[in-house]
Amino acid sequence: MAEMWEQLRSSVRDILPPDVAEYEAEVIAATVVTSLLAFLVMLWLVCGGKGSRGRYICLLGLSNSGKTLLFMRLVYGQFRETQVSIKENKANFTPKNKGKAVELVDVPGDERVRQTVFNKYKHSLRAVVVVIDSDNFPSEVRGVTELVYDLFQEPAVVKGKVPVLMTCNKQDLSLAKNKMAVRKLLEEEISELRVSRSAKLTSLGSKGQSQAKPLGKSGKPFEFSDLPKGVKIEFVSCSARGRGQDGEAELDEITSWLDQHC
Amino acid sequence: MLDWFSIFTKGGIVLWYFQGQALSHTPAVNSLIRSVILQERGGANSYNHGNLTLQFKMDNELEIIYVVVYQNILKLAYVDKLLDQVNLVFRDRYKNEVAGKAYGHHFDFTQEFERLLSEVENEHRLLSIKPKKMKIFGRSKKADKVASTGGKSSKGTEAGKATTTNNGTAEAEEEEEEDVAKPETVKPSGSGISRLLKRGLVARGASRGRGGADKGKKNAAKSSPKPGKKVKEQRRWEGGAVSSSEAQALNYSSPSSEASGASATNGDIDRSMVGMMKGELQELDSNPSPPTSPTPSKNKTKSGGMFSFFKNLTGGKTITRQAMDPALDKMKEHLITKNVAVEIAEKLCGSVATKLDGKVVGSFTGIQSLVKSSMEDSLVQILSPKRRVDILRDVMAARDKGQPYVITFCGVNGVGKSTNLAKVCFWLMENGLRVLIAGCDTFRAGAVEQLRTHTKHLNSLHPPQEGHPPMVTLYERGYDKDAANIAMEAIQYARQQSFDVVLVDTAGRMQNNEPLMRALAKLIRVNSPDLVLFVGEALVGNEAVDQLLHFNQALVDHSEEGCPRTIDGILLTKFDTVDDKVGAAISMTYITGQPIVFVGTGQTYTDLRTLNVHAVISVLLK
Repeated sequence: MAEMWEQLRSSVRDILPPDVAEYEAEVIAATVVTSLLAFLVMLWLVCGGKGSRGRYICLLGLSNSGKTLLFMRLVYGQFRETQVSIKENKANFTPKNKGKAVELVDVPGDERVRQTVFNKYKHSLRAVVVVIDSDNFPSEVRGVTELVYDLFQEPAVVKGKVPVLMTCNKQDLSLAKNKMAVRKLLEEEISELRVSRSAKLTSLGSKGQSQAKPLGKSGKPFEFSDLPKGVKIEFVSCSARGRGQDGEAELDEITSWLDQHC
Repeated sequence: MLDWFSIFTKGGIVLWYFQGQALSHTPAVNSLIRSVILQERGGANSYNHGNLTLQFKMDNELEIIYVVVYQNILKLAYVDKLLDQVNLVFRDRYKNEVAGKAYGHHFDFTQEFERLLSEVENEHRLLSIKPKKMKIFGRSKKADKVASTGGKSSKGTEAGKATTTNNGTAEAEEEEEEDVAKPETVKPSGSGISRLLKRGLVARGASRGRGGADKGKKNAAKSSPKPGKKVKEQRRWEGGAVSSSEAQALNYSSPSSEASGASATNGDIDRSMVGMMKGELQELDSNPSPPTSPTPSKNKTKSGGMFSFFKNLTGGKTITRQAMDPALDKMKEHLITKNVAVEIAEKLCGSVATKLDGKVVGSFTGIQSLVKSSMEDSLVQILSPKRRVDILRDVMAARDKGQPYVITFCGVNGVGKSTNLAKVCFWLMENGLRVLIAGCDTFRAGAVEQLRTHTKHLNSLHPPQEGHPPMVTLYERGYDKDAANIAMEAIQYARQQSFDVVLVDTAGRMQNNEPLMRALAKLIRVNSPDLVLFVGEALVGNEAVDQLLHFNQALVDHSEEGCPRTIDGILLTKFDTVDDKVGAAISMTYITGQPIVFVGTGQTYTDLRTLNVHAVISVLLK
């Protein structure tokens, strides 16, 4: 060992210019330290910084379904009036029992910006919460269906086995549908959408566009239990606004699911 | 005086609001956001919603928006000043809370706001009471005109402009009065668009409107050249006196005249295209570039993480309008060379300027690249449809109700309506639907024969099964009949015979031809089709603005009910003839706010695509 050290020192001394030649030990130490640092930085870059599990929980949904208010309730615990969002809202969110913090992202619902914003976060998803306006659901059912269908065709969601929560919001309104009705309506609508989308399969190979498989089992009407094993989906009810004038938000089911899946 | 004033973040959280009336004006503000900000019309900062006027100001550094709502009849000239003052005071007080995203904080701004409001109102009152000084000749507009035509030079042209800004508000008020006097239409986005653009175009297009009639004739002459004819023949209207011999001569719809027709009978048909169009339409692939996968964005976020460390060290720079102007001008020129209409390019640049004004970015970011990326985001927003158009799904829904799905094709002369109608028909047939074509073009020579030839060809490509009726049928009643009547009868026939889709072909018409636009509006009003497609060619330049404005305006003007039907979608044709000058797509979607449903890329049946937003934008910004 001592021999090798002496050999190293002499070779370094030869390499260095004469006035610095005395400090060969320091030079060796410095090179070792810098190469270690560089290696660590590379490791950090490769591993993505915060572990391989996703960092973001995205709130998706159509415009006016209550995402921003839900965001306010979960992060700040307050009620605020909201308008149509043009940009996403992002904040750190700590579920009760687990210590690991996630970032809650409220993705704007408007068609024009939704996809571009979602593309920024979809590569690192921990969970997705789809907020549904249960009061207006019958007239919006097609929009919600397309959103859900595209979400389940998204490779980031399917391969990453991202859990999906379908929240039926606005339960404080009297005409709101409950989660069973919403689930049933969605299943019927997805069966119909599947027919018009699946026709794409038999067309000529479309130059690199991914040919996605239709959801569920062909031949029988679509059910959420038919989805591939990795995709977990659950329906809950909630009310972000709360009943009455200054009601408390009814978010228990959401918070318990978030605690469970984070 | 003010009905509503709210301060909210770009993420939609309302920080503070002032309610001057019992009603909540949230829907009006939402409509402003959807129509103006999300559709990139942010250059013009006022917007009408019903009987309310909304004005807004964006603070791009803190990402906040300030919105004022007041009644139309009040012409408040101090609103701009109020917005600026409120911005300054609010930012001074709450900069830390907003920057730190402490939205839970209670923003108590009411007293400050009332103080600012009374200050601004007092100032404005004093200004209006003060007697106006008489203008000297050197400062008047006439002196400027004299100077521009080479007369005596007026000394202070800048000073002249300064006084005109004083009177500019008075002029703006006069303009607004004129607009208010016009009957307000109910559909806010339609009136907003036409009003916004018309106001901008009034000065420029006033002379154009008068000269437009001449231009229209010139265009008509170009597109359908009639050699040697100096006098345009009077158009024959329905119900006009026609002798029986003339009627006989004009009636080309007898089946016996087919003998001379198509040579492409059963043997020679090219069957290679059968089966190519099944399913949903393919997207445009002008440059087969690899799809933008998550990896570029991943790298971006990682490098962003590294550089944010440096950003904190070097500090940021604020972007001002002066700094952005050269980059914006260059971008505008670039867009115009790519065949985007001039007014649209200006408005887009104005909107990007509003979005970037006052924003704080790292010193390493160049303004050129920032403007380019912001313009790219805006263009993606414009071209992305605001609602998904899934025709196959809609047809299935209509079939469940037992109704046929009616699509109407309208547009100016020679854009490719009949050709693209045949392409759409072929696509629908490939997906197993039965189509009825209504030949409502009763004016152009050979229109009905053209459709008949298409019908025969399509039927031979997809022969019906044993005992079943043909997949495509033509419903026509010859020439010189009322188009609206034919359409109505065709739809009834389709309902009885359980056709799935009805495609209505109309005659091409210039947008400023009043009687023809009235006839088109009547057809649409009477038959209320499910989809009104405007067919426009990709070669059109600034004319696109005029065409679409007039078509929409005619449909709105000549409808009786409260909710008029306007154009629902755009079919962009002759896309293969423009290599990279694809700006017409932007112009058309910007004006109507409606999506591009189909793109025609050639002259055979299989040349029909849907729009690939990212491909078009990358070509546009290259």
